[in-house]
Amino acid sequence: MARFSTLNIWRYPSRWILFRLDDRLLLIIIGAIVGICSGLAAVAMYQGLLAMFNWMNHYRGYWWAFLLPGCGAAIAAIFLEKILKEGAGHGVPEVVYSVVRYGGLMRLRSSFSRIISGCLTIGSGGSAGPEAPVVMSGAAIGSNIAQFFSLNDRQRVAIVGCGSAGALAAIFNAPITGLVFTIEVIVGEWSAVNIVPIAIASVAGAEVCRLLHGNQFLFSSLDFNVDLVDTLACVGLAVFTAAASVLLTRALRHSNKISNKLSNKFSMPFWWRPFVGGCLVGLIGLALPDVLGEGYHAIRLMVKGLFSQGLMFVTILMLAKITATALTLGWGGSGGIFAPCLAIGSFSGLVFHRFIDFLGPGVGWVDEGCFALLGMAGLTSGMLQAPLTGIFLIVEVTGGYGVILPLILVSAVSSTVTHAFEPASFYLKELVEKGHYLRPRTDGRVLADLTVRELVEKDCIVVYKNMKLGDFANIVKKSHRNFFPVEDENTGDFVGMIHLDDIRQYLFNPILYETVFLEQIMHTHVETVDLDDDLPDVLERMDAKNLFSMPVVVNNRFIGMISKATLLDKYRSELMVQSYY
Amino acid sequence: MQLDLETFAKCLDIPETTVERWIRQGRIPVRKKGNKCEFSQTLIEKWAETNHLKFVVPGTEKETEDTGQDQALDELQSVMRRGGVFYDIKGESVGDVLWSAVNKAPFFDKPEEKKKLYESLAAREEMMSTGIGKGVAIPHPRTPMAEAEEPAFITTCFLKSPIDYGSIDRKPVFVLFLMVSTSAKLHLHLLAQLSFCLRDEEFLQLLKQYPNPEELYGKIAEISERIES
Amino acid sequence: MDLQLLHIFRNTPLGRELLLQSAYFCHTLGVLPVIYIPQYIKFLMYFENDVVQVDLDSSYLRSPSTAREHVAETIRRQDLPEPKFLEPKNFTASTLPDIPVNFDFMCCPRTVSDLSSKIGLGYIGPRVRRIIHSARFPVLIGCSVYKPWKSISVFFGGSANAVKAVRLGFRLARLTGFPLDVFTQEGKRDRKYYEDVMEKENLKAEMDKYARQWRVYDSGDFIDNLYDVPHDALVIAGAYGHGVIKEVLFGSTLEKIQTHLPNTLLIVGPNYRAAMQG
Repeated sequence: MARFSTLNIWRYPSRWILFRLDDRLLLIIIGAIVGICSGLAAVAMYQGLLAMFNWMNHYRGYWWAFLLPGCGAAIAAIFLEKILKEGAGHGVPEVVYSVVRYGGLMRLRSSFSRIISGCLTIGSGGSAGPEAPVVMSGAAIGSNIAQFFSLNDRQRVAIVGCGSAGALAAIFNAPITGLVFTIEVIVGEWSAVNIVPIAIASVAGAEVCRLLHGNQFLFSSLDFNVDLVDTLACVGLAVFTAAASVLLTRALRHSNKISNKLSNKFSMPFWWRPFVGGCLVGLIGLALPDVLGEGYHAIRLMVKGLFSQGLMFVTILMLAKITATALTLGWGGSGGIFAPCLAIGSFSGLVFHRFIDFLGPGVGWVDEGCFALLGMAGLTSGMLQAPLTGIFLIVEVTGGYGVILPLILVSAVSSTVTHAFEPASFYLKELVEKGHYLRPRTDGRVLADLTVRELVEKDCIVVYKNMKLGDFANIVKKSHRNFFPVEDENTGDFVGMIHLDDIRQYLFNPILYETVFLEQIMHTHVETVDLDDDLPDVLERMDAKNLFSMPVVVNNRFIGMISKATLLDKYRSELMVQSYY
Repeated sequence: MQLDLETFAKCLDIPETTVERWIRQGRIPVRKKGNKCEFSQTLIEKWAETNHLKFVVPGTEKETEDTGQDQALDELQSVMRRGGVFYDIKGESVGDVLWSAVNKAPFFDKPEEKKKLYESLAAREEMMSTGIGKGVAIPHPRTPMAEAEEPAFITTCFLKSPIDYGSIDRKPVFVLFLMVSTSAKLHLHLLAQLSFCLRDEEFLQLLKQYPNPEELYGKIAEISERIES
Repeated sequence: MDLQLLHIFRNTPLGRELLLQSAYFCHTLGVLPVIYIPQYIKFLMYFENDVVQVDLDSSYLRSPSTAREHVAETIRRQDLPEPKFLEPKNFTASTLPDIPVNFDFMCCPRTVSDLSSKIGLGYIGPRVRRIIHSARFPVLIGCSVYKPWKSISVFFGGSANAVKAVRLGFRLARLTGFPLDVFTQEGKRDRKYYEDVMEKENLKAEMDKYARQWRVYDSGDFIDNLYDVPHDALVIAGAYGHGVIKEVLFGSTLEKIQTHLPNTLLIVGPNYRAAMQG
């Protein structure tokens, strides 16, 4: 065995003397590598999309062009389902799930699957964004590199974060956004051990993008002069974008439900949903081509203030984009919510600008591009409920540091207002509902980590159901516990429990010693726990019945007791250990 | 330093499954190589300290540090041997015999110590007589003499003439078991054993014959064995 | 009986044979079978440092209505308590359940992903390999027809994994009372080396106690010598954890064993750890 480990020493860098004392340096180095890899993945996605667009452009003019998004989405679904056999999900929630549950373990196939399916869906005209696919890919790349080097869970989570940060930094050319988004949404823990490697990965990812694409803003904006009135108007805009966020979230959910119902009703093959959804998007796209794809072109125009259509038309566009996004993502298309958020956000900013312009034409409002920009911030913060991500994303993709004050305002207000209606963000809603959203050092996290196996106390004295009370009294003398499990002496099955409190009065009555058998005084309908039960459920049952301890019984065999007193002990040390790094 | 997982978990006094999970999650500065845990001892000790845990390698001095608590309780017989048996204790009143008994007690050599013990015994008698009937009394201090560094003892004193001790059954007392113990737990333990003996009719008969020490200890040992079984 | 064996049930005659083997194993060793009846075509197993996706072949999803009854019937026939059915609690995606991995044994056919028609000797599916590689439990690989085993044969090649396999063999021999044979093929090293390894690992005493014989072959081809393995033995062997390239170039011993032996195999992977001493 030693022979192999010397050969493979490079696969176990955590054993190198250099990294033994502190793994920070190791994480930084691996983080940089992962950042570069995921940056390359992001660039590949970008190039793929570009190629798809150019190729598709030839066919846009035909009447049957509305079928294109349908076909693209259906092929993407078939690709994911049949060729890669990857259960399709949204992407980011899966990354968070694996980070939360399994220390960021992800499958190798995830590292490229979403890029291809995303290219197919978005390139053919589906209304979705390339960000979630690259984040997922980056995270999976990070996870697999971490697996290759046999890192532990804590290190792997940091490296998964590096992957997602690098990918996001590269696709937007926005290193801070990559860092902030990862910390805020994916990792959920602000600690120096995480931030440093993730920051390095962000830099690496952004650098890859700049080397290959040149350093430019995604949507370059003008310089805006923001007055006090505009800042005040921003509060209104924030509420408006929050409303749009809520609308989009609900539209997505409902369209998902409807499509599920329909496909169940007609028992259609799985690719039917994305196909129909895509075709519907294509139909909308025939009338309003701006809703197709990730919508960056329209955003560019709006931010520069070159979007000429009037209030009504822009409102319709905004609603159409929301519908198209809901049809694409809710009906099983593959892609992210980021870019649609930006598009809808700038539409809603524009709508709001047109509206206040209509109300107060005399007031010298700032250029509409500024509002488009603020709208984007409002919608991203609202949808992701990650205000910092919203702020930094907009600053970095537009270079509009001049509008930072209203930007912060809009982001903060929008995420707060949305939170009132939709308590969990779009990404995390499902996880929260299933109780998988466990952030480090929280009650849920600690309880999820501890298992019944670790808490069970095995120093109980077992008594038998045909034992006389007198013999039992002798056992009580020697025991320091209040609970006694009763077993059948022949089969070894667990039959009940005796609690000292219940029988104390009889215990001092020697007349009963020879006449009463334990079978007659034990509790038979005892709440029991299985070794594999989840601790939160166990605690809930304890609370419901006012119990302080419960017997652990597997397959009718008594294993031990689990009690709240030990739990506190273990809970505390678990919490402290979790806070060490 | 290398230990296997089982020993390592024992060093921390934490279940093996927990340690394993902590290693997997990277919460503890330990690397796993197969079944072995590899770690630096200083690092793990520092880690354990910050997390209010103890890391004790088996076989080192630290291990035996605070195990004193669970010592086996002294046997009645050995405790009585320590105290000794005395005959013909003189005295007309409870106070007199107590003072005489205190003078026979071992370990309490200095006058002020004797005085203190006597006062404590007297205070206990004032609360309620320790004469438990059948001519026997078990005087003991009101609180265990916690400061006493000496081990517990029971001094058996046969009185020259039985006196009225205010016992429950009003019978005159002819024998005192002066009992000084170091802890409440030990006190209860000794008291329980002694009263078990006193319930034995044979033992009472023996006492009435003013037996010599070895006879007395022999009987005690015999009865103690019965309790054990 | 707190040891558990995971069995993924396939509701076909072939699956029944495998379940019979699991049931026999559980019965002889006092292990509780935990049965997973798949509802989705794939599932994930999150191991310590790897996540394995198992894509079942479609025969696993056949007639779900009768599956439970079939399982209960087979299990009952082996005198085992009511089987425990595994209901996945967590899902990575809505059709992608996570199957827990904290079992003490797992039973696999030689392949789970490919069509059952391909099942023959000489082929262990890639998924089963990856499970063996990542799992901390030994994997029971059944043969196509149920056949109770009456003795235990361990292959001991001197490596760390082989030592684990020998330990597991002793444990099973103790639990079942079946005779144990140990087989060693001398490679470049002589008998002395293998005895030294046994000595170093404190296996000597147990070896004398449990092993009926220790056959060390200094001549002949490994494959030819396999003929001496009793036909009704449970074969325990370690998967040696070489890299892919090594395996392709030199061929692994495990590969030879499973190609030429139709016996039920119990394979100990590089991450195997005897969790409980029982």
